[in-house]
Order: sequence, then structure tokens, then C-alpha cells
Amino acid sequence: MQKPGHRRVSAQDRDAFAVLVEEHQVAVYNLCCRMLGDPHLAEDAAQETFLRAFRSRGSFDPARSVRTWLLSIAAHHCIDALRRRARLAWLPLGDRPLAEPGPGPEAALLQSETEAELRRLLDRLKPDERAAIVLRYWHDLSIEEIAEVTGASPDAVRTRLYRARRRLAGSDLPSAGAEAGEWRNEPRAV
Amino acid sequence: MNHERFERLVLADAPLTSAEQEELGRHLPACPTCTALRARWSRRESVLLAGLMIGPQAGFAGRWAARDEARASHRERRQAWLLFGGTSIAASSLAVLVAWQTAVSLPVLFADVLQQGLRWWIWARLAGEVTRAIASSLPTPAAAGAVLAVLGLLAGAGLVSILGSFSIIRFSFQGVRR
Repeated sequence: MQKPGHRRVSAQDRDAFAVLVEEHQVAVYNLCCRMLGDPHLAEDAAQETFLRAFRSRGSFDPARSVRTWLLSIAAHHCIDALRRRARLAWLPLGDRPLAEPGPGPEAALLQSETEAELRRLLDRLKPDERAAIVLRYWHDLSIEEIAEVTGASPDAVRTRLYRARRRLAGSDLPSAGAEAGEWRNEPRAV
Repeated sequence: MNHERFERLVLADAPLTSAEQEELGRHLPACPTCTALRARWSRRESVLLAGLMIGPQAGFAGRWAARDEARASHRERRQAWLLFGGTSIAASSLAVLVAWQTAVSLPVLFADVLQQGLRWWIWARLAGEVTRAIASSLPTPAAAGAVLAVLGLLAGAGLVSILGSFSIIRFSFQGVRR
């Protein structure tokens, strides 16, 4: 018998899954965007998330939440991408605006300032801490749900959140990301 | 003073119990470090809470479907090339093996054929000599009869061979009807 992930995909399958994509695209894209800090990388990562989910839909457990399943794939993909990027080079997060500006110029300015500060904040965190913070603050997931998404124990998630908050509250924000990517240098032997 | 406990309370994920709130309330006025930490965290958390959910550009699902289709077709093409490559390698290997075997056994085969032909030629010569000797010792009508009988036998054998070959060729191309 052929595995569902390897069988020939019909147009109906794809159309049916496209409904799911429409439904969860914002949640998945937001996680990728907050994790990777670049809209283009986020688009790629979100697309990859749905492609992987579509290919492995046969192994999806219906007792599980679809949102948690998709966020789990996205989180793992982004954590891997960040670790790969850290291994390759010291790369600060992009400076491209993440969100569309609001209606008025003040709102747009405020939003872009907030976004810039958010990016600087998130860039201080390790990939798994960043995932925990994004899932907690943007996706309103509980500790147990974050544990399910990231594949860690609830205690590990609590520790990650505490470390992330400590790192975020640790000192004043640098003006141009002087501390940005400090975790990337940690494993390197000097 | 050990600040770790109060640091944990300031950065706690769950809401504090009334006892913890009371304990922290007593500690903070006396500790500028924890007060500063609380102020910083409160500022940073408000930034986190102000962050909006960001959605992709319009047409995301369409782009996903197109990418999936392109990837599926790429996978199929790759599988076809793998199959073609595998078959080609197998066929080439078989051809090389057959050629090598033929090259190795060709001189032996040639020597066998030559030897067999020589043997048949000697036997034919011997049979001719024997036949000629018998025919010369017989009276003329009897010799003629014997030659005719031999020729008849040879013609019959030839006819049977031709019919057999014809049947094999016919059944090979048309199949056997049940």
C-alpha cells in the first residue's frame, strides 16, 4: 500500500488543503515572521510549513489541533533555519518593515518604531526562547500548548520563558542592535 | 541580598498569589535593583503586547498551490530520470557482461566449429568411399536401386526438416491456438 504522503496528489486534495492554508496562513506567517525577522524568509518558511504539512497530512492525528500541528511544523522549521543561519554567519535580522503601516502617518510611525523595537528585542533571544515568547504573546498559547508545539516539556518551556524574559529585561536596548545576535556567538570558541 | 526569588516573581508567567504579591510589595521599596528590573520588564512587555499579528501578502494560498504543483512535477521528473538512469545502467552492464563472455568464449567456439566441420567432412568422405566401394561391387541395376533408395531417404529427411522448421516459425509468430 502506498503511503498517503507519497501518493499522487489530486487537484481536489490540493483545493481542500488550500482552505486550511487560508484559515491558518496568518498564524503560521506571523510565527515565521517574528522568528526570522524578514518578510521574504517568512513567506518561504510559511510556504514550506504548509508544503510539509500537506505531504505529511496522512500522519496527522485528528485528536490534535490543526493550528498546534501547523505551528509546530513552522516553529521547528524556523528554529532549524535560525540555527543554520547562526552556524553560517553572523547575520542581524533584516531592517525591512514587517507589518503594513496603519492608516495615518503617526500610527505608521508608531507601528514602525514598535516593530523596530520588537525586532531588536526578539533578536536578543535564542531560537527556542524566541519561539516560546512569540507563541505566548502573539498566539496566546498556554505553557502546555507551547510544550506541544515545540516538543519540549512544560517545565522546559517555563524555563525558556523565564530566561527569555530575563534576557529581555536584562539591560537597556541597544540603539542599533549592538547586542543583536549575542546568542549566536555563544557556541563559538574564541 | 538574594534577588533571585524576587526576580522570578517579577518575571513570573502566571499571576502571583496574594502572599507572593505581598512579599514582593514589601521587597520592592527596599530594593532598587528589583524595582529597576520590574520597570524595564514592564516597558518591554508592553512592547511585546503592542506587536500586531502579521499576515502574508494577498494570494498566499494560490502561491502555495503553485509551489506544491511545481514541486510535485519536479519530483515526478526526477523519479522518471532516476528510473531511466537505473535501467540504462542495468542494460549497459548486461551488454558489457554479454560482450565480455562472448569475447572470452569466441576462440573456443570457433575451434569447436572448425573441429566439428572437419569431423563431418571426414565422415562424409568415408561414407562416399564406402558407398562407392559397395556400388562398384554390386551389379548395375542393384547399385542404381540402392542409390535411389538413399536419395529417397535423404529427400524424405529434408522434407521433414523443412516442414518442422516451417511449423516452428509459424507457431512462433502466430501462437498456438487452444
